[in-house]
Amino acid sequence: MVIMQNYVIKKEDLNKLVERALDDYDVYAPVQKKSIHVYDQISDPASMDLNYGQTMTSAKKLFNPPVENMMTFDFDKKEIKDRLEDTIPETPSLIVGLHACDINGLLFLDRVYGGEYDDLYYQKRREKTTIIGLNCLESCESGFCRSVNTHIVLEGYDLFLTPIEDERYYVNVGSPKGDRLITLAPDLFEEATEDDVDAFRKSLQKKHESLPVEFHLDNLTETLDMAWDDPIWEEIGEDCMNCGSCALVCPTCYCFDVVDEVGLDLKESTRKRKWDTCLYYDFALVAGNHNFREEPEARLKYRFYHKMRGAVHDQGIIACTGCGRCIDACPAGISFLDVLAQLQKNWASAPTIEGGN
Amino acid sequence: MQVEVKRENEYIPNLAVLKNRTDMTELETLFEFEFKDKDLQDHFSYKPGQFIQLSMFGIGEAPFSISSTPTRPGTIELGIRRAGDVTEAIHRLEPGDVVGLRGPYGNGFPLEKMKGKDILIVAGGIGLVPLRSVINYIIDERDDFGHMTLFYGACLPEERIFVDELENDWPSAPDVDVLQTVDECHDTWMGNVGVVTTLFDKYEVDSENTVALICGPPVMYRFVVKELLDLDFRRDEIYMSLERRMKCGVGKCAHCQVGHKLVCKDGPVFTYFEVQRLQEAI
Ligand SMILES: Cc1cc2nc3c(=O)[nH]c(=O)nc-3n(C[C@H](O)[C@H](O)[C@H](O)COP(=O)(O)OP(=O)(O)OC[C@H]3O[C@@H](n4cnc5c(N)ncnc54)[C@H](O)[C@@H]3O)c2cc1C
Ligand code: SF4
Ligand code: SF4
Ligand code: FES
Repeated sequence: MVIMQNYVIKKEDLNKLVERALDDYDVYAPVQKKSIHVYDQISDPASMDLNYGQTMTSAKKLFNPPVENMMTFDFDKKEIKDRLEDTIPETPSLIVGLHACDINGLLFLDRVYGGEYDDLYYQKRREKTTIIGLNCLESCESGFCRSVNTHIVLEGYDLFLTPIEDERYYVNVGSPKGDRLITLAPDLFEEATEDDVDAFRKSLQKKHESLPVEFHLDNLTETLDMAWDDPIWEEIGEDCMNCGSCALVCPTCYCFDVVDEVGLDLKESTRKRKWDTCLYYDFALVAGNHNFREEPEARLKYRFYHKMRGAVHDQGIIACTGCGRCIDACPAGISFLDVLAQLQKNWASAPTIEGGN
Repeated sequence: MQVEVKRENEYIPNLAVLKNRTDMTELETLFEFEFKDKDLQDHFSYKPGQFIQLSMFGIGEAPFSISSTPTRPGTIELGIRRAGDVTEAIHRLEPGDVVGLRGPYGNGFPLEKMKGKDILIVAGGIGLVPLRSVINYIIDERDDFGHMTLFYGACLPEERIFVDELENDWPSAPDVDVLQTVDECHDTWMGNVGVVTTLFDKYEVDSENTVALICGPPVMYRFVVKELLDLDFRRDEIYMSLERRMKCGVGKCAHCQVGHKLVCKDGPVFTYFEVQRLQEAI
């Protein structure tokens, strides 16, 4: 019988591992900037801060950058040059400290950028990135991961660390890339003993006790099917400024725009893609200036429907990891969670957590 | 010989050369393209109702329905209306100029389900572009399909496209009726005047064993669908092609999403049954 190999590593040794990895990888980790955290490239393990609640922007930017060159066209030679290889860094990347919600965000993007048609710009970056995930044992401020079942992750990482007693991490190995990290520094890892497995189990128990369930996904798609004309959309639509911040910080929002930019020498043009959001006025504009989502509330509503209803049709799962970033980012104070919970309350047809009402 | 038409990177178009252009109206021109790569040109195949993404390098990319039929291999024909930056630039192309094409994308018309049935086609203005592909397909594979009727409406007589086929080729094909109408006429027009739905009063449509295909400006759908439902057409036997802004054509950018469906992948052809359940569809 083959038994899955799990390890433990001392917290202080994780820095040593990162130190060694810096020779082979571009390393990204949460770092503190003023009062917030962001994923940033680091050159010194001391600058990473794994004791964080949520980063302001998601790690999506490392796989699908805000602007990216797709191809160049040479007007004289009439040739297209695929810029795929140029836009992907030569050095592989290592991201340290990704929470379960964000790994689930990547699993969602894997679906969008895979399937019938490949999106190689995303996929090549994903292949070249190694991920060390980090289990949260306590809830962050705005997150509601447990309500959408993304506090748990079964794949999509290479190593996954869970804090256990004695300032150590329990290490799940998720892929051959994870194995490679371990062979990079075998002296830092110890095979997990039965006591360690016990400690791991205790940590998970602590996590499950501390993470709240704010609402139930059960009947959400049904609810949304019924709630198209709910007055709530007009109410929150009045506050929404259509600034798009909620979509830009979201780990699963993936809409993009494509534009051609001609070089100053007029000899070539570059086709770029840029993050776009359905909150912007011209997103659904078509010929004859007909706009399928003319009013701000229509665009705000669409974001909810795309993520929580359309994605279920398209990819089989909702496009929300409960990370709470959109809640923190919204200048109008609109809470994605509160809106969902309110809809659930208005339309619930299945038992709710309070026991059915 | 089987050639691999799948490209390494889906977004990179294939180069194609403009072979010929025929101005149809003040705004619309038929463009004929051939791929530079001979293998690809020889093996390029598609279904009526599918579209391609056309790149005008330096300006942008936009979706266009293929107007030729796979039953007549040769150039890839696109009927294009001047509407904005990309289409203006396309209209400035001269034979020999190079563009990018990728595709074909989308589901196309349900040819298999249409076999053995009568077909009613209702086209408005430039909506005839994708429908011309299916009309010529049916004429070329005549034995596979029942009777075909075409209702075509345009605003003015001189705004009609594919006039030669409308007046000569199609009416003379076996088992085909063609009825035309214009919203406003000039002295030269002897035919029907009125919106396309007025043709339903002029011609007896039997919905039994008939499939309806519609394409035209958004306002047309509601009125045509109402006529068809009054005639007892089944909601899942009314097919319509929807138009949305598209950036990727392959289900990645979400620009074309309607309700929970993507026009580029789930469509552009939908049944009325599907459309009536989609928010913001028509
Ligand atoms: C599946 C499909 C098939 C199509 N087939 C044809 C065809 O056979 N012939 C044809 O002439 N046109 C067709 N169109 C419409 C064509 O794609 C748009 O007219 C074109 O994209 C306009 O581009 P532009 O850069 O010239 O205009 P823009 O400068 O982008 O805009 C001009 C106007 O067109 C609108 N518009 C921009 N992109 C689109 C779009 N993708 N769909 C609708 N409106 C848009 C803008 O909102 C604006 O009102 C099709 C569209 C789809 C989705
Ligand atoms: S961040 Fe808030 S105000 Fe801005 S678009 Fe999103 S919901 Fe509207
Ligand atoms: S919708 Fe909001 S809470 Fe859900 S994943 Fe996106 S940013 Fe996070
Ligand atoms: S055009 Fe991009 S998803 Fe349909």
